[in-house]
Amino acid sequence: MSDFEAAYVLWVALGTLGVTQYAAVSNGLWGLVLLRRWPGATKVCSTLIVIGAFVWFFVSEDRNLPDTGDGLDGVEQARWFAVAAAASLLIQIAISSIVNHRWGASHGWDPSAERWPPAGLTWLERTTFARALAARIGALFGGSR
Amino acid sequence: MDGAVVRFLNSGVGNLALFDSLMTMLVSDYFVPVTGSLLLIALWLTGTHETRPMNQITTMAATASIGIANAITTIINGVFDRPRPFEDNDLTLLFYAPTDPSFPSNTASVGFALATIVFLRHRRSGAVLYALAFCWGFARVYAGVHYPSDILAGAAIGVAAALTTAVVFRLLSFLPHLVLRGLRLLYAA
Repeated sequence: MSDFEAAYVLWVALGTLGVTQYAAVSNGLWGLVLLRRWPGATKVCSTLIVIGAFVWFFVSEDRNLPDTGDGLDGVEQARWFAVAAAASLLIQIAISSIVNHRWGASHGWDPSAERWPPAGLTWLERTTFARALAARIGALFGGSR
Repeated sequence: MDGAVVRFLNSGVGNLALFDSLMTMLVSDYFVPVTGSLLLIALWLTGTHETRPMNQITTMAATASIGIANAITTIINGVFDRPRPFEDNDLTLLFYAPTDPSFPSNTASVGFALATIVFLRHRRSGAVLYALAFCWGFARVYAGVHYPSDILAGAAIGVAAALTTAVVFRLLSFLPHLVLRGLRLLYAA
């Protein structure tokens, strides 16, 4: 990975972090939020992270490099964007699942009453990603009522 | 006419350092695509249990329309080998010298495809993306790497690609819904 590619990946990862946290707080997906108890601070920090990442990327160096040289062409850009965004999301999912683990226990799904846990992102309003996925896998392999 | 507009706009380079810095950022290959893509990530998460699926389908359609617009532009680039404005005019380049054909503008097609498909669902976000796409196109002319007609043709291709994608997604709506059902089981949608 070249220095430019590393900078691009870091920029996208930070941008994804800010955007995801802001959207999660704004839409009540508390299981994804890293600072669940401080929604206002999360919005402010997310905004600053996104702005800071953009300012850093464009002000620190000249980023207009030829896409046939040290820059990224369309395909490379799409590939590195996917890698950076996925890495950022996975890290956020892991950390938010850890820091919200106790809170996510009261998720409102009763396995003795319902075979399958709720599906979709909406359940992250009440539990963490790790708990939701574990419940789904548990229901898949474990269980009948 | 095309050349005169480029020469007129490009004659402003060097007069206002702050404006040139802004144009240097806007003209880049990265600013608008990354901003648009981050907006799509936000759109994926936005909404309620009822409205989020349509936002997620919009995100999928936007990704598809960008791919289609890009493909059409690349094909036309192979047919019309129009030189870049800086090759035929005495201009001050604010950008590196691209080696691919000028007509039509790939940046405009991608930018307008994204803006159009988002606008169909979210007027405000779409308007922001239209503004970004317009600024991106303007910056490319100002920087001396595209003629205005390259931008107009690219924008037309982008809008057409987005509208076509929207129709196809509506006709085959069971497919994105099927994908979403699968992703919902993994809590990814």
